[in-house]
Amino acid sequence: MPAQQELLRLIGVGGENEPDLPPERLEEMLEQLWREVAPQARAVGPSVRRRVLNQSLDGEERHLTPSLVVPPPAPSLPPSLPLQILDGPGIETQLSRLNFLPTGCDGVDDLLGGGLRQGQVTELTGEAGTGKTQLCLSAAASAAALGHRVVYVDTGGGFSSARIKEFHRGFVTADADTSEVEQHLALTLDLITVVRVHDVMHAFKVLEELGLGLLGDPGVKGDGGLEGEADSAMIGREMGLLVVDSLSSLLSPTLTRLHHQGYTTMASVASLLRSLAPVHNCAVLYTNHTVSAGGMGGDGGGGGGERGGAGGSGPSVKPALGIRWTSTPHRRLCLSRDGGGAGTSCGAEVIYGPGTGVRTRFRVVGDGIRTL
Amino acid sequence: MDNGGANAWYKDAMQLTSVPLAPSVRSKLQRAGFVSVRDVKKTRGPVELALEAGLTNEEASEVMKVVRFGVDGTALAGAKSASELLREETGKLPIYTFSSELDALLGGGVAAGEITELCGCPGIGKTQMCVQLCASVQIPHAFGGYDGEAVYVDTEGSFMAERAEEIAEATARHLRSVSNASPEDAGMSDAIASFTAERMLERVHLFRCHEVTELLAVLEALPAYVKKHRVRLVVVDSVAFHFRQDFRDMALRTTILAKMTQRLQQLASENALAVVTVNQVTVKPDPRGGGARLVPALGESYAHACTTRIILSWEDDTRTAYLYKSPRLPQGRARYTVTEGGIRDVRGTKRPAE
Repeated sequence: MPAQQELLRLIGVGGENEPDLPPERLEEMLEQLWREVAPQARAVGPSVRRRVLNQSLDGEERHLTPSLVVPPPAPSLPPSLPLQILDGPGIETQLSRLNFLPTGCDGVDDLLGGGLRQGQVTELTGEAGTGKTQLCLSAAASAAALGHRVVYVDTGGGFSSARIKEFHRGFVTADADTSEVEQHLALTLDLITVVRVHDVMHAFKVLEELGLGLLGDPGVKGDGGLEGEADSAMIGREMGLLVVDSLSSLLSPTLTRLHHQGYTTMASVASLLRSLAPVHNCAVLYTNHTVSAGGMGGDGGGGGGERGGAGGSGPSVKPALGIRWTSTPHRRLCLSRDGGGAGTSCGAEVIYGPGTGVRTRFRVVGDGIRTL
Repeated sequence: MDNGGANAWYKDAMQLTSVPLAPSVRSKLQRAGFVSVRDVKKTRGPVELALEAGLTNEEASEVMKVVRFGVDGTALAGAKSASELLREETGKLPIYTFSSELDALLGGGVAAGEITELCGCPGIGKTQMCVQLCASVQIPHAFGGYDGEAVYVDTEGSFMAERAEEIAEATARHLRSVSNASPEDAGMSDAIASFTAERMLERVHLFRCHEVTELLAVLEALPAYVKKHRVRLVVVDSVAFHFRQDFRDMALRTTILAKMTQRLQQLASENALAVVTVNQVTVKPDPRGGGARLVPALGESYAHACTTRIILSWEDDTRTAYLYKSPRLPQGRARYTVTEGGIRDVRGTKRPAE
């Protein structure tokens, strides 16, 4: 490198003397030199360049490699933490990179402005038997069918692989090749990881681990031979959709009037969910049950939804978890069911977040959820 | 990148709010500036932690214990992929109700691993159906049954041993006729030899609970009990009875009910057994029109507790089961009747037109 050093000395980098060249010429030469010593590290600013070039003068044997140019990350910080601070355009580009995940029901997708948005939290609330779990399963099936990894936290035994299979059948046309459908179904099913959770502390552990991108042995190792072990360790990081059905059944037992620990727990879950979504660019979908608005709920008397259920159920029920929870989801969808009897239709209405007041109607059928 | 080191970092970053600690201890730790597990681990020991956070030595060593051992291991260890679950689901045996119409509605029978709730007015056959299920769950493997035992948690005192014997005898008779129809099957005749009504009654474990506290205590003891015996079915008849009487504080009732449901759900999924709960009905004024309608008791939030809910009612002098909610089956209705031998199909009439 003697020639380069000579050049460096000439342009004054590393020397004490001010260079006797015009600044434009100096920049040009610096640029040229830079291209020679570190062709891959084009994108660094002038100050870093000067420092690096200075270092190149210190010792002969020191090689200018990109790893030297880009300072190694501080060892105590994991590289995946979102340390960058975004300006307006930065946020714009980030947003444009986010996907919408379909719920499997066009009408509900329209309500949500395109589907479940990655990076956002969506809540489904509604009385028993209004299709909350069906929508969750359908969303899980369609996200997985599109190749997104889905983590399904099941608290009530509501997860049914057979139902996922039925939904999957609804995504393909009737004349599709059977073996291909089977193959795709196997891929789809393998993308869904189901965690059965029965108490809130376990839920915490799951959410924390997912949030931090760590996942131990999920018990799917070598299963079906479709994914390697590396995949199973990456579930948390790859996760495109997180479904919690039902979140409220985990939280409501901890909410008592005796002490406020339940509310601390609730706030922690809320902040975990809110931070999980943007960090992992995953969509979060959870269900919340309803309590009767007569103040019977265990939520300590918080008026959950300012607006009651949609449709005919009137204000006799309200979402559980109380008013403190209201601002946790980006969007809250209220489901309702009209009339009794088989084959009844359900309604969905946005009651919190963008698009409040928009409604749709759907019916849960054998192989999917149809918009009416 | 060294994966182990990275994992350790992640683990230690866990917030203290996510660790099972007593609220008083946690608030003391937080006031002293401990935020994550790492902060606690950085102290040199319980004594230093006690000094810094103002805890007693016992509390501090408890915290150290929880932080060191409680957060290790992965929370997702029990996670399964959906394809694995599909295999499990298809391999699951249902518990027959002995009414083919009702079995068809339920996708083969009452499913294991979930809570099935029966609700209906008095005399509709809720208890009969529970007793029938207690008999069905004992059907030997050779006949395609579970060959399991049953736990019957009785809160109302409605379990009648004589009635159970009748149903058990009818079940045994039925199996004998099945066995006689195919005499070449040695497995069946072997199995039927020891299958008597008396033996069936021996394998129904009855718990009589006179108040809520007893009920909760039994549920607390059940996980160990079902592991010791080959229990495949747990019946709670009825959930509503005590909860509708002993409570004045409705918020407390909701909390206890929710906790109880969690227990039952855990019991069902961890031991792959069926939980059947019985609920009463109550009259609720209809908000849409005048008058009132019958709705399941225990309120709105309890409605979410069960996986599958079946509402039993009279329709045109026939007992009808209506599948109100299920995550995997379409809604629908089925007719059944209660005979001396248990639950059976309605004979001689056509299926009702939908």
